[in-house]
Amino acid sequence: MRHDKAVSYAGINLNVIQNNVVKTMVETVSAAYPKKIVINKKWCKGCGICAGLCPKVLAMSNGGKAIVVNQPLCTGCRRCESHCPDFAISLKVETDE
Amino acid sequence: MNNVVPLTRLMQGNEAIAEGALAAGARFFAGYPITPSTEIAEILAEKLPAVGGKFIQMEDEIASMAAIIGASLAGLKSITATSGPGFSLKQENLGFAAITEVPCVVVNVQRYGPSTGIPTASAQGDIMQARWGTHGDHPAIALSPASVQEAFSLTVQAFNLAERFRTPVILLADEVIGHMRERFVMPDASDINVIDRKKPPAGLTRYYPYKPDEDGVPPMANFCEGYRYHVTGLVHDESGGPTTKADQAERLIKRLNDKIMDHLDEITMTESLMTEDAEIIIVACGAVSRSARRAVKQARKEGIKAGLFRLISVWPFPDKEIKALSRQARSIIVPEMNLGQLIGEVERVVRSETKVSGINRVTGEMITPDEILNAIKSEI
Repeated sequence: MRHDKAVSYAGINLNVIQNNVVKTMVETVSAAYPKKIVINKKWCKGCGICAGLCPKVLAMSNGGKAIVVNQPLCTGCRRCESHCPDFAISLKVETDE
Repeated sequence: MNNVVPLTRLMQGNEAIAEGALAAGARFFAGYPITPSTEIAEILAEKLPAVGGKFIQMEDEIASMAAIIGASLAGLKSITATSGPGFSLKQENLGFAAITEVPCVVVNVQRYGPSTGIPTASAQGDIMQARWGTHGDHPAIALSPASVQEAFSLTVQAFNLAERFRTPVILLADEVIGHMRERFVMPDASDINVIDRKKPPAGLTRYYPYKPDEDGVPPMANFCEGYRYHVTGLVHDESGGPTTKADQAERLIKRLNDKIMDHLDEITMTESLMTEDAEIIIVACGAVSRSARRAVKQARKEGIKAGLFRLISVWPFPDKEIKALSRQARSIIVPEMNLGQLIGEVERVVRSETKVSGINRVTGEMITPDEILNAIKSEI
């Protein structure tokens, strides 16, 4: 069964997910620990590098800035953070310490 | 009365390795055929699917190593088998498995090298590569069987150590052991001790994949069992996300090392034959130790106080034990089928406590008992 239109499940936007396997994976497995992508709108110049690297989680808003569209899908790889030329995007991870 | 007769038959070393893998619960093999390890792949190709496991012949040894890492992350005990040239190819992914702490077993049935070498001849030329083949600071566990029976039991032990310490483990066999046939007795299933990886409890709101328990080993959640996390070869913090912070990098690398080095009592395996009062001690491993055993026995018959100290675990190297022997013996002889790899470690530990000399054969043939016996006699 293919999902061609936006489907929402448990707050996860499945717009970008095309096949059952990935849908099942995302449904049954949740992020191991709390994390949050934080974008500094003042510093973001809308270059699109982060969204290009991670189209599932990030997108460019109408105003031309990076926005988070799917926080639950974030795996914490920090590629967005390490590739931003202006240090405008970062991942905040809650630790036990 | 029913008499259960244990399975006893003539078995090839490689076959024993395959059987050992199955007995340990291995359910995934990815590999590429290479003499003298191919029989392991052939046998597992037939037997793994029969027990619900999976066998994939990959395009090369690099992909094989990658595949077994993936399979292990998905929850299967996984194994690959190769020889020298393939072992060289695997090094980068071996380092990846080490830093991502993915349990797996890599069998290297050593052959004559370097490069293509002599595929059907035996050697022990990969001893140092097993320790330092992959770049960076990492510990290593390598086990060296000296018989077909031990090829079975050490394969099981390799899996146990891999699961216990979340690390790749190398089974460092050689062509002689891999291809020889010997009497083998299949242990009863109840006599085979199998260790599985520590897992976190289900339903945690916070699971940090690289947060260690007190023993330095983090519980491992398999993929698709409830926790999504990132696995990277980049230095990472306890959440698995990459970091370049100095204190976190040091913490990770030191923990990876201490994870192994703080638990030598669980890892180190050696065998001593008549070393209690020995004046001349042979230090050997693998096929060479078989010749050494005969030489030592013969020497004793001739009244010479010789002994054999056999390394079953080659890495980590048994510093403590060798040091103790060096205080007792007046001569240590290290026969190896290479130009001298184990001997460097022996010398490092022994320093000037006693004389250390080597017997080095690179003809592709076994070092004979007579060669070792003559060396013992020349020390008198």
